[in-house]
Amino acid sequence: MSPINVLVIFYSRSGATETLALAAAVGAVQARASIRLRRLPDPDEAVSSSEEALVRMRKEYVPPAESDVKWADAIIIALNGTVAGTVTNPQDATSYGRRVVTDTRTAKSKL
Amino acid sequence: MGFRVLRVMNNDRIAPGKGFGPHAHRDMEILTYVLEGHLLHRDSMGEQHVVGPNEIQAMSAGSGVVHSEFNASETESVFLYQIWILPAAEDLEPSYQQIAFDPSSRRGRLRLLAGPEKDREEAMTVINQDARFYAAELGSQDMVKHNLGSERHAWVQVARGCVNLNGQSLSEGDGAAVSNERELTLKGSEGGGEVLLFDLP
Repeated sequence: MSPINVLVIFYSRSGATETLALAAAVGAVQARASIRLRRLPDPDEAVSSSEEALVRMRKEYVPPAESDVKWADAIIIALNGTVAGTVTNPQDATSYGRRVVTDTRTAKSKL
Repeated sequence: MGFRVLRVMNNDRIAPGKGFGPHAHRDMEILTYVLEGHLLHRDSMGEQHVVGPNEIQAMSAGSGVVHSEFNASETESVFLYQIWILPAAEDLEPSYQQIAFDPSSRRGRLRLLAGPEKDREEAMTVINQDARFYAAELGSQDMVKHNLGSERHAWVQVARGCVNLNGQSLSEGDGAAVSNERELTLKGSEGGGEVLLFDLP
């Protein structure tokens, strides 16, 4: 069975939503998916150097590109401290990621 | 590449401030050995560490880990070896280890840095595979021997300088796959060298 490609898109300034996005990505990996993690660009360029997590994330992540969306079989979006509007802790995010892969696989097998 | 359980033997030079953004690994024992500079590691287990020379990092990806690796410095580059070894089992609990060692402990001898169990008094990392990783710094007068058990194989990688392996001269960046030999003799050369030895099933 070819692996499911999961794109995890998130926005985070403090790193809290990043933790959820990472957990969702790990869940997808546990379900043997391939993953890409992409951070949405900041609406505002000004960053104080005291915002360590923000400075780091700007360096570590690239924003999602059209090619990422084309690559993906499933997309998980993490915004404002929730994954897909329901998940608020990393453990739930991990099971959410696993479930997304399982559901995608089931959906694809019916195509 | 691929030799026995060894999957990747990679040397990377990472420019100041550069690195690899978050990406996933699964079912792999990943050793990081830094020769110059410092690497900043962050992962989904919550581990955040700087790894430098005279240290060994062992990450067991097991059921799944996402990590990033960046040069920890904005001015100096980092030069490292990263080694991927297949684990003995899949879906293991992910784990992270990092130890520092006295640089003199690998001078003129094979210093065990990773293996399947802690079987020495010296600090080392434990990996989920019956493979052993040694490092040795050899001066022009140094000679070390390593016995390979029956059905065992070896990979010899020259990390720095030049060394001589069973009469064969090897230069920096060279790797040698060894099978059907019972004894490995490593000799230093003019200017010295550093060698990484993997004893493999």
